[in-house]
Amino acid sequence: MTLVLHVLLRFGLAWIVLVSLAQLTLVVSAGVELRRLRQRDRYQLWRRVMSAPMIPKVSVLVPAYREELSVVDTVSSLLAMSYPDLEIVVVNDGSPDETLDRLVDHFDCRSVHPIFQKVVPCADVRAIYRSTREPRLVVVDKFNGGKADALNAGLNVASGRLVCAIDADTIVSPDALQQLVAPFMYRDDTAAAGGTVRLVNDSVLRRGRITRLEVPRKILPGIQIVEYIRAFTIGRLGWNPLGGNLIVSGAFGVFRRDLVLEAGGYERPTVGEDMELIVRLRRLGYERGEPVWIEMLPDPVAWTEAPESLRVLARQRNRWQRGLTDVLNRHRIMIGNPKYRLAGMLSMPYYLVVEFMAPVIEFFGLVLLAVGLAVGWYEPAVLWWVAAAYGLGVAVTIAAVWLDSQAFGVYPDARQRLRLIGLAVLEQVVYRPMTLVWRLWGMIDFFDGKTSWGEQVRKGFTTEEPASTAA
Amino acid sequence: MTSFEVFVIAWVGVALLAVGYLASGPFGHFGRRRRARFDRVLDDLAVLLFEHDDEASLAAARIAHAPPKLLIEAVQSLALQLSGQPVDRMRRLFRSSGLERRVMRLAIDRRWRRRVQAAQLHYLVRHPEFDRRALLHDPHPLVRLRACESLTTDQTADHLADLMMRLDDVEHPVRESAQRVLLAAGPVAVPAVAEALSAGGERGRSALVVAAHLSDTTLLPMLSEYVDHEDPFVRGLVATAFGSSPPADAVGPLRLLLVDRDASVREAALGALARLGAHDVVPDVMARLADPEWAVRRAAAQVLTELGPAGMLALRLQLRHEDRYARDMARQTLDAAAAHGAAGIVPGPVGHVELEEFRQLESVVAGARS
Repeated sequence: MTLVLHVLLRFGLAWIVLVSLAQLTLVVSAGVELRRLRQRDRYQLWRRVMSAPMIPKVSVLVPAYREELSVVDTVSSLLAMSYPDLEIVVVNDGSPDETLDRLVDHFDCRSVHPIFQKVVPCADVRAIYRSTREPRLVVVDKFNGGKADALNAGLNVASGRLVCAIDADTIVSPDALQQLVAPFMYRDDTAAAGGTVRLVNDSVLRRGRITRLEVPRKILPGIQIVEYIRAFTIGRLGWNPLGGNLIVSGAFGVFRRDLVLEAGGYERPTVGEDMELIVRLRRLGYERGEPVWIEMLPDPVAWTEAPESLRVLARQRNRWQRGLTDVLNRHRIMIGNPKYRLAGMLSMPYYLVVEFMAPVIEFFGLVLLAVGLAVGWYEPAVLWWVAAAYGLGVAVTIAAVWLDSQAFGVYPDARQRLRLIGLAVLEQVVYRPMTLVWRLWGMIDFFDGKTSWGEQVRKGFTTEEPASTAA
Repeated sequence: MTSFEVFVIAWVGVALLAVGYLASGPFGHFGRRRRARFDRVLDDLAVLLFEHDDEASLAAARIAHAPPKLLIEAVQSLALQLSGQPVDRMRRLFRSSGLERRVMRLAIDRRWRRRVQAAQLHYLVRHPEFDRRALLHDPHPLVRLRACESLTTDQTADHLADLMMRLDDVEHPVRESAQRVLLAAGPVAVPAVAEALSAGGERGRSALVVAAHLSDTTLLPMLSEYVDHEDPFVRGLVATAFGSSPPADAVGPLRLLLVDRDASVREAALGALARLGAHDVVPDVMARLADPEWAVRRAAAQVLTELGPAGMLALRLQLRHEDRYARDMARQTLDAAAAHGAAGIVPGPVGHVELEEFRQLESVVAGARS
């Protein structure tokens, strides 16, 4: 019995150390990639997109459900983008609040005859509106069917060669789209390109631009800032040079519309539709013998709000874990399959072991440790080992935050940096064990067949604009 | 090693990282100081280039004390935004300050980043010994790219052969840059483009992009030969090219491309017809409202709104089309046009159109329907 307990403990510790080392490797990989992209962007090749003779039309798809507080700001920031051939398709996914009314009032929209080709399945469309002031804006009002369903409706209505999926609570910089379109002009096999998502809580925006970037005063959104930085550095940028990216954030990504339509659009009723689509595009590419390239760029930044209450955050993490489980389950054939090259041999196993298994191994490991210490199975000295393993996790987070600060010059003040260091420690020691419970619950919900998104609560952005446009 | 020692090592590592992160703030501050100095040089350069002589001479005196490396970086950041008189001033500065020689040295440096600097600034160098061609054919793609981009219109004429070679460069951005430079050169580039078109292959294909946007009638006969090209991308480009040609020459080939086997070509042909704005193509465009491809239908409906009263009238007649989708497409397009301020044209009877014109249009549309 004692032997088994010690083996389990050592397994748990070895697992944490291995995961941290894998993540540290990805931080190094992200550093190499950032250096490469910085060198490339030094010459701002993406600016050339604006004057390219064959510039592709981009349809920006904005699924909106209960987004009355932020939808006008988001659409205004999208309209401020400097991309020359743009169409914005806002899909109101049966919101019970005033999302549609705010759009119709603010942009002076009129109903037009609703007709579109239903290439990919989606719930029935109630009406299509066009703005009298802004010819680039189309508003689709449909019955509720979830985010993937709303995106499918947007795909059907859109007319661009490329589509950009963006959340209704997201603000993007004016030249973000050009930067995301550039990879499609450089490489014919580019199927999707994603930007970085940062958190906007307590920061101030003016006419769709961030004017003051702050580390939030509240601890929960603050912790999520370091969590996002680590996730985007390790999970996206780190995988870029290895060619194994499996996620383009649903909050901000550009896709080739023809490939997405060929693949059948967004999968319903999954809740991890962004990752699922990328994995499907990669899978189909390998199966056809025409592998596709997924590019992750650090510079085009999309700003979004982090949940500020534990309840909403718990629902979000529960949903993410359900999404991940769903994707791994749907595409389990890829795991460890050399036919799918790096995606099958490295990325999918990484997501299985590091992201999917984490809640199970860490949660039960911590429970075992607590019980073992209480009843005297373990010596108190094992706590040093556990603390050392968590220290490695903190080191990974600080390395990612440092890399981010060096690359983008964000959070330059010592006060902000000190706060981020403190948040990195809290994130590993307090927040991570909390998320384990939510994620474990998410797995249980998945096997229970739960597919809903849960209620979203938005605070709205802090703006310097008059009250009429402030949320 | 005991567990406590492992713990101490791990957290000392964390502490070192944290201290490094905190300290990188002040180091970043040094970077900011350099940046401020760079900005001052940039300001002085701006004064030198754009202000009156007195202020310019004061700025020139200040610039003389700037480190050459910083100065060349500042010039580099301005270089692609200059035209007209500032370019002449900058050339004088280059000659007088020795920067011209420096750029010539940079152009033959073995480090590609130095050569990129030279490639960006080469248009300011007028020294007879300077070999601009070497930069246009440099082994590094970024050097070739920058060298192409920096060519001024008058220099383009001397380097048409080099630019033609860049039209089938292995790197896409370089090809695109050569296309853009040739496009900006306008009629000067026409003979070179014609030669590249006749060469065929990747160079011919790349030249087609230029030809499609050059709007030069002399290229039309050559472009017509590509109407039956096997590649739909090429046929689409041909359609685009005809969009900026005289309607008399373009309508015939465009009618052929309107019934092309590839939907993207049909769509491009519709776009070209919209640019031509010729009323007599209304029946051909109307026929595309029942196209098997949705994108073509949508484009056809959109084109009709851009063909003036004839197109609008045609769209209204389509509201009674036997094909439901053609009918609905017309309705949606008219709704959208009304929403965008075309209300005077769309909902009411055609009172604003002269009666005679209306009759002519009606006969055209009726002919098409029959």
